[in-house]
Amino acid sequence: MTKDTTVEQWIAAARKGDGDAFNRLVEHYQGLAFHVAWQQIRNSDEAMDACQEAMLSAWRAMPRFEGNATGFRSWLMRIVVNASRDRWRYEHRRPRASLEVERDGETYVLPVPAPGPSPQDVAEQAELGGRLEEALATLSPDHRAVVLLDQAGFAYAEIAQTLGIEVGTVKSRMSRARAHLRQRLRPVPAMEAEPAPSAERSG
Amino acid sequence: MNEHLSIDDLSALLDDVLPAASRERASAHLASCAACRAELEALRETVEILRAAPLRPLPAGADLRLPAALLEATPQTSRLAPEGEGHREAPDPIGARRASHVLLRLPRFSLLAAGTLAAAVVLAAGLRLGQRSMDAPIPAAQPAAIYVAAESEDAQSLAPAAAPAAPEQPMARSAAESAEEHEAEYAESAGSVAEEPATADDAEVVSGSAAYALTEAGSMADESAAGDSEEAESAEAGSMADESAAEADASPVEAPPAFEAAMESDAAEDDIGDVADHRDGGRVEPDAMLDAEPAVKSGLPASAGLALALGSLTLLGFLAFLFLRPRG
Repeated sequence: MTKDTTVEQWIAAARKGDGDAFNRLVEHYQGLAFHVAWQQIRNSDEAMDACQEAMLSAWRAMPRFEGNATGFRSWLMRIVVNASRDRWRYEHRRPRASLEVERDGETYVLPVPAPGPSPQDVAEQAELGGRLEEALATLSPDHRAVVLLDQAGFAYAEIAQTLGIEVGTVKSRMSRARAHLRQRLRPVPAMEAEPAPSAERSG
Repeated sequence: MNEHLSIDDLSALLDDVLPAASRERASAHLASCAACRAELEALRETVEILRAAPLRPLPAGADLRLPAALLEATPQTSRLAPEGEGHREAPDPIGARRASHVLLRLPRFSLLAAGTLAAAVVLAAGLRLGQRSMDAPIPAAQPAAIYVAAESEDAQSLAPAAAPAAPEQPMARSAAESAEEHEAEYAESAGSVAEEPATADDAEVVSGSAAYALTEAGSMADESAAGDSEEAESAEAGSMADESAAEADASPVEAPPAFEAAMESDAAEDDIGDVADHRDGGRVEPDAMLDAEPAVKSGLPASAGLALALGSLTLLGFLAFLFLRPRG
């Protein structure tokens, strides 16, 4: 694990236009970035594209960044999350391939299913012991984002900063997402009494 | 009677982010409620599974590092990049921002072609206009010039009577000087003296502005030529600059004397009682006759001249844009 001071030196250099220093930062955070993007989009190619867009945006905005290593991680992941969301929305709004058919002067657009996991993604999912992945896939992107940032070791405040939401919202999303995952991963024993107000029944 | 803990409380409890008061209450409840304890354990297990899960690895061979080209072409607000490190040039904020414009990504050749085309279109349109005005029965500027000459003659005919009175050359000269200073005004005056249809007026003004445009084109070309002498293409620009500069030089010489003459004869007509002015008017007459021909010439192709000026301006603008924009 690279020390924060090293990361902060890279940040300082990158802010002044040092491309090599910025690429060190990219190297340092690209695993996390891809993970975040993949969890949002759940397609490797799209996630890579989103990450590339995000890194370029980050480089362009670099001189405006102010903060330490922790702040940078949140800032960068926020860019990644936003790029992923944009891409996800774009891909789900429009057909993936252009299947426009013109007949009698009218244009028909054939519905094309939104991109799901590629065969490679499916294979990897199975390999990673798919139950968790499967459970995560059933979460909404908002809930998933909170969980996966927690998974990456982000504190609540950092998650709030990254996603642009209140800490209270982080807490509630976190608990609902966990309850949902808990139910998926380990079905509640039938004889145990249910704790009162819980979102897990809705999942 | 204790209520069961909410999932929010349980989750917050795991992360130790529950407020102190709630935490105490939760601890008290957990001590007495097996169901909530089991729930908390299940949740803890889930979180542990989640946190122990590896991050999804990058696809094999994937690398998100930015290529050098992208790093170079990106604006940086700070120019403080250490030069000595040698891995990149000092950033050029304005240039880089401009370079991100889609137009600037086009190859230089297509820009040059587009500029030339634009210039050619303007030129052709102008020439056509000029052709049309030449076809008109009475050339626009000619009557004005003749009329000016006639007026000057009138002035002269009145002049001899006053001639012996005083050879006030200095005053006449200063009048001529001020005439040079206020060309535009005088062009207008000349038009009103001529009292020709609006076209005459227009022709004068147009030839005046054509000359002005050419002057500007010349100076612009000079600038662009001076700005970038190292480029092979700039030789072309330079020669063009010379051309327009020559034209710019020629035109003002042609046009202003006619205005001057017209103006001065105008003065002669108005201030007929003033001896000095009469002399002035009389003196000017030969000039007016001499300049009538150039005035007609510069008046006739006025629109053509304007078109040429506009065309050159467009082309030179593009050339300047090409040479002055950042490279690489």
